[in-house]
Amino acid sequence: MIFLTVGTLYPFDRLVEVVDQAVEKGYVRDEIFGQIGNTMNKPRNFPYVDSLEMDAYERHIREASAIISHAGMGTITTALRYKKPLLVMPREKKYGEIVNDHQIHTAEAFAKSGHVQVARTLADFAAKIVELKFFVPTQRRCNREAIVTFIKQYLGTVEKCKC
Amino acid sequence: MSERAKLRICVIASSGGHLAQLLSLKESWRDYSAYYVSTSKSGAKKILDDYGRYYTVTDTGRSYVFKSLCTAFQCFRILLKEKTDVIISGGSAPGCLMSIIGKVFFRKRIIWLDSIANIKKMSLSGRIARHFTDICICQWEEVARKYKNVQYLGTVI
Repeated sequence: MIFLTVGTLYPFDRLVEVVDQAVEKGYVRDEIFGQIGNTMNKPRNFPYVDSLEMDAYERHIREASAIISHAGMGTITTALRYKKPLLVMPREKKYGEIVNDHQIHTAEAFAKSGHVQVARTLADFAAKIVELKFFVPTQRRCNREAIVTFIKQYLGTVEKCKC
Repeated sequence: MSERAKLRICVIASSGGHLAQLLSLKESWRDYSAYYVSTSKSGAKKILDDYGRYYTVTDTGRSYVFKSLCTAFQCFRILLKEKTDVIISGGSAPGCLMSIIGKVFFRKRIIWLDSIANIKKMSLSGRIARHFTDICICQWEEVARKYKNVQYLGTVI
């Protein structure tokens, strides 16, 4: 099953439409399930819901063979955690899909390091969706410990001031 | 409990990526008493089960004036009700409102974690909130260099 998710704050008609067309034209033969938020044009070729509870959302990611989504950090990090191939289409300001173009930068940065695949156009999407399930994402290495230690130290000093 | 339990932490982030990133730092405030604020009921439910007390505030953004007023009012009420020492915010707009209100009206300590999604510059929320923060962390070195008093220490994911 391929899981399509677009977040819940804004609609994303362009992506839902592209996926719908890809199914119609036979680029995608896998089953698709969509979480489409308040997107206006409803898909004709696959089942969908508007929103999912967090648990159900995570279960869909876990059980999916591949994921298609907007370039939201929630989906990117969850997909990476479960080592799933992810194809993102960034929301763009010029189409009124989001307030700024940070998703384009996110998508490019994470694609450059091999964490995700990115498609900006219909043609690009059609080419990449076919190969998506063979994509093996690079795993991330972070240094969360440094941030945790820093915040801990700061809280320690605040605590001392208080005593 | 030891004296450490005295410090009370407000952890706030919009549900989704913001919340996921902030919660990955949960060890930082493990020794203290924390309560949580997020935006969607489903997101908050998971926190309630795993973490502790939580509040839900209205999800908002820069283009929603009325919603932002609602969120600001809700944040104000939470800070009136909860004894709080430090606010740790992971963004976005609701976290920004909580940080401003926390600093301006309640003189709280504010920690801001800007999302890893902001690669070229800090989020708008972060750029506003940073003037009210005691600690401001972002997750890209080049971004941190652009602002005074913004630190890069690595990434959380």
